[in-house]
Amino acid sequence: QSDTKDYSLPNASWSPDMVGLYNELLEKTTAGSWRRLPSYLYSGQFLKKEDLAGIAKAAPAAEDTRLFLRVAEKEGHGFEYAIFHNPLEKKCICLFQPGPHLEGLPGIIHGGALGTMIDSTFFITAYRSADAIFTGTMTIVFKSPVILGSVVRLEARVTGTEGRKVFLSCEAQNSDRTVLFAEASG
Amino acid sequence: MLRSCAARLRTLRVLRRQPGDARLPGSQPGSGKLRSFSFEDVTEKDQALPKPSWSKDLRLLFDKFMKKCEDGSWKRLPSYKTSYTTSTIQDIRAFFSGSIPLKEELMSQARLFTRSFEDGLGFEYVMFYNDDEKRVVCICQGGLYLQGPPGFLHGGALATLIDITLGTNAMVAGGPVMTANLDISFKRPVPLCSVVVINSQLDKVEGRKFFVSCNVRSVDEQTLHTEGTGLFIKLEPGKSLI
Repeated sequence: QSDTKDYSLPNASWSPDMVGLYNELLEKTTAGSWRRLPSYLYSGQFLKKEDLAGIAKAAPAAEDTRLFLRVAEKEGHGFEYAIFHNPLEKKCICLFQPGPHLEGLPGIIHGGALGTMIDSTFFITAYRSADAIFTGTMTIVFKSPVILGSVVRLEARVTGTEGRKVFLSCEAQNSDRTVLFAEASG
Repeated sequence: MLRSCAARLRTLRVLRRQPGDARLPGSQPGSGKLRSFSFEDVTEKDQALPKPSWSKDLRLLFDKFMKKCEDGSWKRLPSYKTSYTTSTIQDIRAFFSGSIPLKEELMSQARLFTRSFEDGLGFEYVMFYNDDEKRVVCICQGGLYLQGPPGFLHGGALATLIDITLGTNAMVAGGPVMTANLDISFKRPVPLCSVVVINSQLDKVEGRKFFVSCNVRSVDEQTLHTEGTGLFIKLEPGKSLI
């Protein structure tokens, strides 16, 4: 597991829309309340040591694994995304550009692929804001189809906590926020 | 949100065809709209068959369900890497009032999400359906590239498997559908590379709405990993879903 490249940085496959939104959010990080989160090939690279040790007790870590979101061999084919976190407001914004390997119906994203991005955004928000790791429940209402290659802006926030449980909500919209693709809670 | 019904569309056509007659489920009877099968339907490799990457558990389960198919009550569903052939694109587009702006470059690179991985690294799964009982069983093995927390299957990968199983269940009952709602309760995490069984059934049909539910259990049935329910909407030509 020697690949330490940060994949959540603009590359040639990112559309102008995606790069534009990314730069907008990058600007916000200079003010201090927002942070850009790096993203690697392996889950072990973003979990804290103590959490890794806890998880390892339940399941032996296998060799040659890959984080599900980072499996595309070629740039632009799978999940291209970057996540920005605001710890004070306990929320995350994820910019997501789905590639052709995430297809469901012709030209349209697979429901499971969007579900995966929603789940991952929930996880990052919950982990960074409240140390929660495993998804308990996830409810998604799909409203409008996402065309492959277009940009999806997901915004997730913590809505409450109860002991070890963290509750969140998420909206997936298009880049100018005029179209709602899906709503989720978890 | 749309689900990968196109792949299921192909498999439905393969299952329901009679010699010389390729009628799309849901097309108007007597409209004279006969479509011939593309060669790709029969020559492209069926992914829902045993491979070297399959674990012993998966292989045994597969054999068990193939036995159930012998009396005709259960049927194995074939599965392909691409969602569509050129003829089915038109069929799918007929369901949308506006056309979808597909970039040529993307179209040629497109692969069905659940079949876009190298053998064994991603989703290995086979679905069997029982028409009488309106049930679908999906036996699945999540590969090394589906990891979430170290050593466990990514929640999104499991959500994807649930989405396709529930969707297929709705589709064998009612033709092409798309996902409207998905509600999943994760109870115990699934260890990476283990085999799970997803049992789904059709609960209710209300017009174009198909209500389905499922549970996900370990091979030995001792562990209940997940429960899920879904609402799918039947696609109909001319009726917009947006």
